[in-house]
Amino acid sequence: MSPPGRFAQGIRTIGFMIGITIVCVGAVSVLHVTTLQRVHDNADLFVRRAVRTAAGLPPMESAAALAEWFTSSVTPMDNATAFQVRDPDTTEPKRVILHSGPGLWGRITAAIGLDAEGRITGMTFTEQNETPGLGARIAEPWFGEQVRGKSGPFRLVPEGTRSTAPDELDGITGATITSTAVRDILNAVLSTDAKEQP
Amino acid sequence: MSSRERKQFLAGIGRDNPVFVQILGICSTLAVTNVLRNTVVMCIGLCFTLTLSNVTVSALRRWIPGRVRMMVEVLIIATYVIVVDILLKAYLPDISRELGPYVGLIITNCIVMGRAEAFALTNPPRLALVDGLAAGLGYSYVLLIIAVVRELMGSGTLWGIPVMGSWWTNWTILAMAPGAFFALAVFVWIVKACFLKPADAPVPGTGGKPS
Repeated sequence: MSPPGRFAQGIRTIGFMIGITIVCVGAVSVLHVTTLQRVHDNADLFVRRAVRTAAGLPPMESAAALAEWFTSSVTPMDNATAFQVRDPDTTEPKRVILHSGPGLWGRITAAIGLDAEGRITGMTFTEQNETPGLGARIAEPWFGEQVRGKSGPFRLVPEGTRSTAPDELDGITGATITSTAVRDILNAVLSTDAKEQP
Repeated sequence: MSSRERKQFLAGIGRDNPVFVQILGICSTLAVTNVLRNTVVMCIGLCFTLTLSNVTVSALRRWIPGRVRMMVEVLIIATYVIVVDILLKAYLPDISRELGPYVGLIITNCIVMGRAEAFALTNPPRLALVDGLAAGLGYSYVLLIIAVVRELMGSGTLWGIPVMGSWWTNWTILAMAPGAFFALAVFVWIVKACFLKPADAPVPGTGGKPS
């Protein structure tokens, strides 16, 4: 290998690398910017759905109806980590609190609804990366519904107990760390709430 | 489809299968197969990435400088994976949330890099497309079989719907990572014992080490 030389080859290599990087980064950026609005809307939709579920209200299928309900009946507080829900169908105001805690693989954020007496109206998760098939089962509807009407502070009982005692939480078999994390999140929300409203 | 293409396609499905012959892409096999729904999305994402990255690398093969070929391959693969991730986030947000980081992990799947390096760099785009699709489908059906076994026995459900009834005690171990090793090992054992004759088993290894 002589004339074209190592220098020319080097220039060609660098040029090719710069060119293909610009093409790839450009394509990804264009796609990102064009879908940005949709991604934001999806994130809002998740929060709205979570607030409605935590307030113990039946789910709404249409995103537009949900957005309308959210604007008319929900007041965000504390930098959108808590929400005051005044639904026309129910007389009593409710509060929905977003609270995070460490899970097995990452942060778990729960939306927990409370009525005026400090009883839980519902629980759902806006963020969790637990093991699918094990810890991720906290996202199944029964898990959030089991705490409705309870007031804690909670302790874990084996899965399947379906306890109705106000302080018992069914854990998930094979997901002890996740179950404990959820119990701690619930208890933290309940104790902060008790301090704020003696 | 020419006979060369047909041969390449059948090789990816059977005799050259990326999972049970080349033993590549094991980390995703272990990670996503405990729930069928995640497995299906992972397989679609991988087939898409593998096919397109193979075609792209093959189309550019005359211009890619030899010294930086791996950087170029990774760049192309990563671009397609981010495209999949963005599309899922925008149009299938529920599935995107459930899969979490798995989609991004397609980048590290050795099959994609392995096919680009071993096949696409030296073959024309049409053949590379067939090869990518075959390797993707070969990976997918193995994963789907393992996922059905693991979800059924580990959680008693299929696609999230309970099917085993109350008499069934869940084998929790199968829903966890060790269960994937057991299920995969038994699968490879059965396939090698029943379907692959020692004479046609090719030498594994296409440059990458199992991930």
